Amino acid sequence: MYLQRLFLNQFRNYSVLQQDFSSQVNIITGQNAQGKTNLIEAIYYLSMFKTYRPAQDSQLIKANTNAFAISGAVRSKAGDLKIEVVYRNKETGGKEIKINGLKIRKISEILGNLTVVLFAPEDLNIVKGAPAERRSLLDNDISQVNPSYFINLQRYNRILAQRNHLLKRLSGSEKITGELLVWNEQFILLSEEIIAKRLQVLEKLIPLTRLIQRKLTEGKENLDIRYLLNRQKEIKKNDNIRSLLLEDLKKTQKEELKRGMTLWGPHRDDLLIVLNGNDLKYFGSQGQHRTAVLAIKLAELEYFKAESGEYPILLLDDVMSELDQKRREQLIQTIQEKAIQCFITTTEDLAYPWSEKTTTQKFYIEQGVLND
Amino acid sequence: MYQYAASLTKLIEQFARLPGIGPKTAQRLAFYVLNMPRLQVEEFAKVLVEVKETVKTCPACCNLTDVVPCRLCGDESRDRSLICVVEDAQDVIAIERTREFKGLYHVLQGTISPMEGKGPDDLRIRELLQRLRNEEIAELIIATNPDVEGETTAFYLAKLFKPMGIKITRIAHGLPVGGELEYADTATLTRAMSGRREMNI
Ligand SMILES: Nc1ncnc2c1ncn2[C@@H]1O[C@H](COP(=O)(O)OP(=O)(O)OP(=O)(O)O)[C@@H](O)[C@H]1O
Ligand SMILES: [Mg+2]
Ligand SMILES: [Zn+2]
Repeated sequence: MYLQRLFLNQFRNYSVLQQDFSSQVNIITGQNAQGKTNLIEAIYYLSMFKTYRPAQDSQLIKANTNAFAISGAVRSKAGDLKIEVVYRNKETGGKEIKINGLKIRKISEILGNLTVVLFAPEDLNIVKGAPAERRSLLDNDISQVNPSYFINLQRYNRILAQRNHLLKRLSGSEKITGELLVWNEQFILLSEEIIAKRLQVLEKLIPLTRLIQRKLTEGKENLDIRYLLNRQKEIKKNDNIRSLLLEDLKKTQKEELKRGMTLWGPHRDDLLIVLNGNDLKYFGSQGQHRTAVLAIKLAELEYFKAESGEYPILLLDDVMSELDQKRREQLIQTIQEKAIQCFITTTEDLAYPWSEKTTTQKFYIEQGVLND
Repeated sequence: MYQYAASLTKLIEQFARLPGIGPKTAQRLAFYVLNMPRLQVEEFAKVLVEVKETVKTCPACCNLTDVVPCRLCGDESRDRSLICVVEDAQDVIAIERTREFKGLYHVLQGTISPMEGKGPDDLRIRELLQRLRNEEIAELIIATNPDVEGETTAFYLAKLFKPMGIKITRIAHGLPVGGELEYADTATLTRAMSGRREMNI
């Protein structure tokens, strides 16, 4: 799958951009603050219809204008696809998405048309950051190939919000009402489904990650990922999730009623990343963190390929210069072997060892203007 | 600061209170009313009051009506052993449009939604309980929306009424998940109604 053409209008620091890209390697060079990350963000947005950076949709609109548009021509096994997004400031109408000219009402209907794997400097947070970082890695991956999972997540968040409201209202009373019992049941049903799916996907992702990590470190490092229920209890695919959740409910219900909030469930779960038997978060060096994240990202490529039959687009924002030469070469080799389309941003035009078979196209970016 | 004439501001404020209407739209509507012929404005004001005075809640099914009992409850040709439970009056219209269902309705007037401060006691569940006790009901069809609140309400009702030994079914999800019943097209609703399933709780 690859992005043939991208069109931007009033997005971030871009006024208008229309650009055709190579189906393989695209290298985007530019000084700081010229629009490299903004371009990566725009491609990501066409895939997930949200940004990965901490910003609201309205902040993506170019300053002093009131709407932005992103559209792209995608070529994949399923055929050619035109994806269009327009976001207008609230009073005039919100987000509008079209696929081949047809208006789409629900994001779940279109996820997976353009799949991406993004690797950016802040991805080190997958190792170092809060549990939410690791959950969203998993959630975003699964959502892209599995729309019903995305729907379940949305429903889950809604039930969670409702349940929290109810707990708050009942707080102090310690009374388990018939209504609470029903919300509990709904909450457990969905929690169980979400956790089961996460475990199922992890089971595919873990061996891939381990293999790549060993390759990247010449067999020296063994990487493992474990699922922690409520950040504590390690669980596996064949465990009886429902009974574990019921246990959590039983243990915490009183406390939940006292504090007026939900104290368990997949929104509190975590992944434990283990390197050679130790918790990578606390024991790894900076370089080991980076290598592990690279291994996870490369494993994601294979996961998408296995699930959808196609490699996703690889977005590498500013990470080439952060990798040492050996890892960089491994990454380049992977991209070449699999003939994946990738977008690589960098401040300096480093001479990477691309083979002659790979078509590379170079761009230079300055103040939101892209030049060949 | 310059402001509109007091009565115009008041009208804008009234429109802005309505759901889905922002300040800009409220202004547009107010100016539109201002430019309407006097007779039309009087007619508009009259029906606003009239609707409030004549539309009541049917004591049996809790649907909105201007006659008591409502036209559906009063219709002798309908099957009185079937009750279809819906969220609001619009859902009755939507299901009636399918011409598939010949029983009676019960309108809950909402769903369980703690976020909006709505619990079971705020719905017309007591009235439904009365009907189940006093009438010969063979089947209760729960046709709340398939969204989180509709689903939870369905489960609540099923749990509540199961001990009474009534057959309880849930309309099938031919509906887009998370979608609203009102917007579902007639064909989908027809399929959903005929594919209803018994609720296991
Ligand atoms: N909504 C917006 N309207 C106008 N300009 C914006 C908007 N959002 C961000 N910018 C500007 O876009 C510029 C480019 O941002 P971007 O993050 O793409 O830089 P970059 O090329 O990736 O730089 P670096 O090498 O530092 O990462 C920044 O100067 C930023 O202020
Ligand atoms: Mg950047
Ligand atoms: Zn009636």
